[in-house]
Amino acid sequence: MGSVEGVTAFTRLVEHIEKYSPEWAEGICDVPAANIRRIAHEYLEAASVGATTVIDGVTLPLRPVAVILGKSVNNGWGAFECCWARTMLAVLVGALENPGGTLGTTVRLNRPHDNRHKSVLPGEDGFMAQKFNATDKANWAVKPTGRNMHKTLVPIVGNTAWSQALGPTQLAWMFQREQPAGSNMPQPTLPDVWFIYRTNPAISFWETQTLVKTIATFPFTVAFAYTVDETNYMADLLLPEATDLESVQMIRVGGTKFMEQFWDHKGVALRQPAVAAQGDTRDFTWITNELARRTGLLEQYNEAINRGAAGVSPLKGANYDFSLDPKGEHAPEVVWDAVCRAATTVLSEGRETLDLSWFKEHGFYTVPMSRLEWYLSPTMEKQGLRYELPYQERLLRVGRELRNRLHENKMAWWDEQLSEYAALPEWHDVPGRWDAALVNAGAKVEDFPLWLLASKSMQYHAGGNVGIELMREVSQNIRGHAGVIMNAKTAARYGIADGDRIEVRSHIGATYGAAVLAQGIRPDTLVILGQFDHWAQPYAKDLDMPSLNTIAPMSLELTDATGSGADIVKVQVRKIAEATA
Amino acid sequence: MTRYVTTIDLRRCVGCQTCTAACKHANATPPGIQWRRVLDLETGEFPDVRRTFLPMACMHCGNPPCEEVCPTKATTKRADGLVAIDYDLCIGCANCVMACPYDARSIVHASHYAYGDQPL
Repeated sequence: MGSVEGVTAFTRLVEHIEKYSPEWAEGICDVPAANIRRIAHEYLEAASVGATTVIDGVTLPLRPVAVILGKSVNNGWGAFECCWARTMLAVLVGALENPGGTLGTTVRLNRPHDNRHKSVLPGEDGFMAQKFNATDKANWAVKPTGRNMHKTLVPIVGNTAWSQALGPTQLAWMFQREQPAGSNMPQPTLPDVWFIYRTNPAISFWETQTLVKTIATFPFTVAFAYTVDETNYMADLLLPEATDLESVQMIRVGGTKFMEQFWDHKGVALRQPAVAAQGDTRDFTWITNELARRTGLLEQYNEAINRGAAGVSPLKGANYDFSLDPKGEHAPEVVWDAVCRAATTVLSEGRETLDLSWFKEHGFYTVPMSRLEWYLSPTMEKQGLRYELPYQERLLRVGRELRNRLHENKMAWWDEQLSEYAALPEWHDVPGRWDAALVNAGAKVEDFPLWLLASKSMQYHAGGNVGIELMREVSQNIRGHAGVIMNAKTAARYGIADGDRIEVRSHIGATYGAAVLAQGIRPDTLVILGQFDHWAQPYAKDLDMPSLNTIAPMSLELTDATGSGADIVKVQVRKIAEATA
Repeated sequence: MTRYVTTIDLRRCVGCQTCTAACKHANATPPGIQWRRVLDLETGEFPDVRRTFLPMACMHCGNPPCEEVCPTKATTKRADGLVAIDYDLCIGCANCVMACPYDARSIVHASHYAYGDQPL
């Protein structure tokens, strides 16, 4: 055996990052080098390296410091570098998945889906095992298994129910319209039957006009609906569903995702009718029961419920059995009674079993949850595992394998995306990609000197609340919900005053709204909050709000390695009317 | 006796308006009437700009100006510190609306509904 010399991943990082000095960054991002240094030192000081805290008798590092990424930098081109840098900063001071620091989402790529600690399993190389989609010659999915092609093109998202939502959803829409030049992939078919449940893609994707035209060609669309919206407007079959305040459902609380991840209790809550169902609507469970019965899928449907599809737990376990007869028809209350019993038996570890009538009186059931469950690091330590950063060899290797597989099949159209499979990311000219896309679309870069971004709104989130008058009212207290946010000095240059109606035009279309002047925005940037484009949904359709989605293109060259685009488009702006009093 | 006061930690407010929505929901105030709103304030000039979220509600002042200007004693400072309104005594003069330094008082002269001219 010969000896092999190597360097540590940290050494590699230091060598790699040396060329990216604050002075180098100053020339690109407009932030003075001195400010970058000052904030870096503030970050380091705030990290309190060496401090500890005790949780349930276990001593953990206390690192009260984190970088929070805004929208538009964490999807699409540039997101890989941003997310890597954010996580790298946490790793350098020991703040990743420790008290005070950056904590990961509980949206789990690895099973089991209900407990991320149990999903931490040792891989072959001392890191956590990752269920990448295969890229080796024997197992790579040369033929896509779905319209989003995630198993073929996006190894890092794995192959679970979440996978296509983590980026490549837009590929399914984009490739309906046209295949990449040189593609030898099968032409995606239209869905025979398309189900829509509480989602409105007709307003929530880029290039909405094209999307709507595509949806209109679907042969048969079924929509659950309690009000008309832009997508279910085109449905062949509407299934009027009672609202959450009119129907029965058991939901997990605590220990789930977002802020509930950080509760001291976890359990289940019963959503039950506060008012009688309005109009000709039905409880969701009644509708699914009927769909299963009428389509001959009752047995599979019941078995899915028995496996735990409707609640927190399987209906049958080692010491309990509340499972439904797979061949029988079960009224919604019978289904939820079984779910209530199974959930409480599992949560209490067999100490008690509570039925639907108990929940109707008490509402929810919780058990204590240790704060140690908030943090992944103790679990990693128990397993003897290290975080992979700074050097992501696996990512590099998977990318090279994918490149080989694609080239073997004469596919070079994904080569740009493959550049994101790097062990240590290099800077590249992200804005330049948009300029190049403009030129390739036959437009002139100088005609579109401004950037338009979209940002989520705390009041509307992604647009789901936009039909609620109360949310509209309170949203008006926050800047930007009345139109397009614009730098005040830039606006003056264009002769635009606060409240003036403006046209924001990209190379594929225009959107209109009131100018909202502000100082806290770059002079070359406009921002629209939320996702609008409503033309069918009651109340929302009359808000006359601008929308980035109307004018942002969906194209392969603006798609990153995860299959995701970004809420960014280059635009020009002009005033079309004075503000009305 | 227990005396109540209102405190707000401005360092923690992110301007989500959830308190505004919750207050409207709990008290069923008409459209446009917010007993608790969160202001979105900007100071400075690009690139040195600061954004501040400032919750504005009845602060139950020590010496409430709204009490002083109320001609009918509909507004009174209770012994436990709360500023209360007796709707039976209120004549709708709106003096309190003008006097309140926190823009926390409001007056409704006509019925307004969230969706159209009639309640749902």
